[in-house]
Amino acid sequence: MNRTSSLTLLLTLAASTALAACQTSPRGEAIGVTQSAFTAFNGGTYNLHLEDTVRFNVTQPGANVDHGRALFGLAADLETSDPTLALFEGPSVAFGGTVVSNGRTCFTCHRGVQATGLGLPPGPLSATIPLTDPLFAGLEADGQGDPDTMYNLDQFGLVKIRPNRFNLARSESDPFRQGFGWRKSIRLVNVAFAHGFLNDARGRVIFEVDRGAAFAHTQLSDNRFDDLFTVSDGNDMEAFQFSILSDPRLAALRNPSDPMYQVLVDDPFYTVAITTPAQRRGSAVFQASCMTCHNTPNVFNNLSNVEPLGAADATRPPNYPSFAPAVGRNFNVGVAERNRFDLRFSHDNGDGTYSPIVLPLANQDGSTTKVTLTYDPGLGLITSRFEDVGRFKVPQLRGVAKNAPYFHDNSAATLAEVVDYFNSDFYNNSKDGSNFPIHLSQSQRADLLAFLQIL
Amino acid sequence: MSDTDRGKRTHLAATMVGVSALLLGTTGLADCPAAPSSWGTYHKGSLTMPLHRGGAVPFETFVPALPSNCQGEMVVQLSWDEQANWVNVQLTGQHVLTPHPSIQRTEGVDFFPNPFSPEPQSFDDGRYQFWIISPAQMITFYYDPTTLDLVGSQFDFTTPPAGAIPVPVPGIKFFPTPFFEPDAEGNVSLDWTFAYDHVVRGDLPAFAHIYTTFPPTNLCLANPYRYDQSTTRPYVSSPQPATDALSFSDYLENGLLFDSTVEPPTYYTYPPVLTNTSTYSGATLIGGGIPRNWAVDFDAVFMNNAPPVRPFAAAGTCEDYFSPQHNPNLNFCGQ
Repeated sequence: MNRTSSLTLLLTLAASTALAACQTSPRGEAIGVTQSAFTAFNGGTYNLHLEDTVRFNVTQPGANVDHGRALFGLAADLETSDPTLALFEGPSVAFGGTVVSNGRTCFTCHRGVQATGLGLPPGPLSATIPLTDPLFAGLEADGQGDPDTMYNLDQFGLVKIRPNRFNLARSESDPFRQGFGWRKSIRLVNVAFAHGFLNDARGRVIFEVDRGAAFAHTQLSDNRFDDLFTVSDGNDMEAFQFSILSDPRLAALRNPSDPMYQVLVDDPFYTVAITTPAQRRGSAVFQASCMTCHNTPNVFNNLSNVEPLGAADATRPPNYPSFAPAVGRNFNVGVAERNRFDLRFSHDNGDGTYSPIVLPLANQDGSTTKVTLTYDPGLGLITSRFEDVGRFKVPQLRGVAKNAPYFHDNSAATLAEVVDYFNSDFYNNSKDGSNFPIHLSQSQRADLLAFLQIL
Repeated sequence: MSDTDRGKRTHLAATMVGVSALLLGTTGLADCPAAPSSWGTYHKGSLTMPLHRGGAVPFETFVPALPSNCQGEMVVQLSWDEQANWVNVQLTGQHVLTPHPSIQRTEGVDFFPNPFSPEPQSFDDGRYQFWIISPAQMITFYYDPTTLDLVGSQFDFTTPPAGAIPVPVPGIKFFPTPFFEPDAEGNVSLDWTFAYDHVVRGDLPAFAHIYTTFPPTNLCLANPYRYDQSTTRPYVSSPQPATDALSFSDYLENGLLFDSTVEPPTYYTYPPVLTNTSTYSGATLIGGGIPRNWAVDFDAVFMNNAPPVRPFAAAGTCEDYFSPQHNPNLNFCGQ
C-alpha cells in the first residue's frame, strides 16, 4: 500500500493580494450558539436558514415501506439479503446504454437490522463476510482501480467515496471531481432523525443518497442513470429506512400532533433508562460536555435543520430543497486531521504512481486557500469552502454501545477510545472542538461511559 | 411595525453590534468585510449578507464596472416578524454605485435580443432596484411540436397551445424594492418595510413577484439529464397581480438570492420586468453566502451538483463584464 507519511495539510495562500491583511481567525466564526429552544445564531459557512427546531424529514404520501424494503435488497425477516427487486439496471437514456449491475444492493453495505443496525460489522470484514459476496466482488465500483480499496474495506470497513464523481460538468482532472474520502457505512437505525445524510451530510434528502449510492456502488463508470431510479422508488426506500427505529417510542418525535411529542421534546432523556447513580451522574456530564452538539432530545444527533426538509404538513417540493449542501450543522473535531490509519488521499494515476490532489478553497474574504489533501476534507470537498474542511455530521447516539467502531473513519474501536479522544488535546485544539473544550476528570469519564452504555 | 418591536430590534441589533465590535477588536478583524449571519426563525429573525460584484450572476447578464475599483461591497440586512406582519430591508454601501448610470451594450457582443426577456439595449440616467429572489415551483414551458422551438410558458397561455410539448423547468421568483439612487459619493442607504404576509413590488404595489428561469430554446438543443449540455436563455414572466402575492415565508423557506439591477429611467415594458444587469449580488442558498471574487456555479446548482461555487471569471479586473450565453453548441437530434 502506498501511503503518504505526512499527517498535515500543506496550505498555500494563493490569492490574497487586496485583502492580505484580513485573515480569517479560527476563533472568529460563530458556530451554532443556541439562543433559545427554537432559535440559533448562524455564521461562517453555515446555512443561514438553520433552526434548532424538533422536526425531521417527512415521508412522502403513498410511500410503501414494504416495497422500499424490497428495493433496499432486504428480505422480510429484516436480516437477510433479497436482491430480487434491488438491482437498478437495464437500458438507460441518461446512461447512454445498458446498465449492468455488479450485484450490489443497499443491503450489501447495510446488513441486517439486528445484526448490524443496517451497517457493516467491525473489521476485518472478511472474517464474517465471504469474499464472494458482492461487497468484495463489486469492489471496483468504489475504487475504480485504486489498489488501497480492498485493504481499507476489509481491515477498517472503509469505502472509497468520491462525492463529486457524477458532476460531469467538471473534467476528470478537476480536483473537486478527483477528491475523495475513506468513509464508513453508516448504520441506518434512526436515520429518520438525520439532518443531512452520509458522513459529511451532503445528502439533503435520502432520495438523493439512495440514487447516488446506486450510481456509485453498482457500476464502474462515472455516468448517471437517473431514469432507472424513479421518484416513487426513492420515496418507498425512504419510507422503509425511516421506519427502522431503535425504540418505537421515538416515532412520536416525528409527529408534532402525537401526544408524546412534547414529552420527548421537553425531557431529552425520557426514553433513556437511567437506573444507577453513575448513570445519573454520567447524564449530567453528557449534558454539560456533549449536548452542545448532540442536542436532539432522545436521539442525540445535532438538531439544526432547514424547514423545507422538516415541514410536517408539506410534501417535498418537486425539485426538492434547493439549499446547497449544508442542511444540517457539521463540525470539525479533528478526527479527519488525525487520520489514525494513515490513509492515502492522493490521486491514483492507475500506473502505480500517485498525484497530489490540490483543492482551491474559498475563504470569506475572497482569498483562496489551496489545500493538498493528506486527510479527508469532509464537507469542504462539497462546499468548496476552506472553513468546512474536516467537518462531518454529528451522529445519533441511541444504541451507541452496539455501534462500534466509531467516527467517520472507524478510527475508534470502543466508547472508551471515543471519550478519551474528546478529552484529548487533539479534540480540544481542533477547529470546532476548540470552541467547546472538554476536560473530564477520571470520575467524570467513568460516569459518562456508564451513561453511554445505556443510550 | 410597533414601537415595542422596533425597540426590541434596535436593542438586539445594538447588543450584537457591541459584542461583535469587542470580538473583532481583539482579533484584528475590525477592517474585514461584513460576514454573513442570521438569527431567529422563519417567523421572527434577521439576516445579514454582504453582496459582491459577480456573486450571483446568471447567464447573459451584464455586470458594469463599479466604483472603488470594483472592490466595494453592499450589505443587506433583512429583519422580519410574521406576527407583527412586517419585513424590513436595509441596504447599505459606501462608494459602491455610480449615480444615474448609463448602460451601453453592443448587440452580438454583450447584448442578445430575447423576446422572452425584453429589455432596452442601452440607456442613460438609469436607476437602481434591489431584488429578493427565491427558488419557486416548476414552470411548464411549451415547445412547438414541429420545430421544437420554445413558444412560451404557462404564464403566456391561458390554455396550452394545440399540440405543444410541455416541459417543466425549475423556476425562480423575484420581487423588487422601490427604486433607489446613491448619493453623489456613491453611498447607498435604502430602508424599506413591507407586509410579511403580502409581498408586492416596492415600486408598483399593484403587482407581486415575477418568475424567471433559463429554459432550453429548442428541444433538440437540450439534454434532459445534463443542463450543462443544454442551450438555454433567460425567460421572465409578467408580474403576478397583487392578489397572488406570496408570504415572505415562501421566500425564506426556499433560500434567498439577492441582486441589484440597473433599470431604465422609465419602464421599458408595462407591467415592468427587469433588465439582465447586475451590480452587487449574493445568495444564502450557498452556506455562508458567496465570498468576494467567487460566484454561484449555476450549472452545478441547477443539476444539484457540488461544489456550488467557482471563482468569479472577472475577479481582479474592473471592466464591464458579460456573463456568456449558455450555449454549448450541442444538437441532440443528430442534425
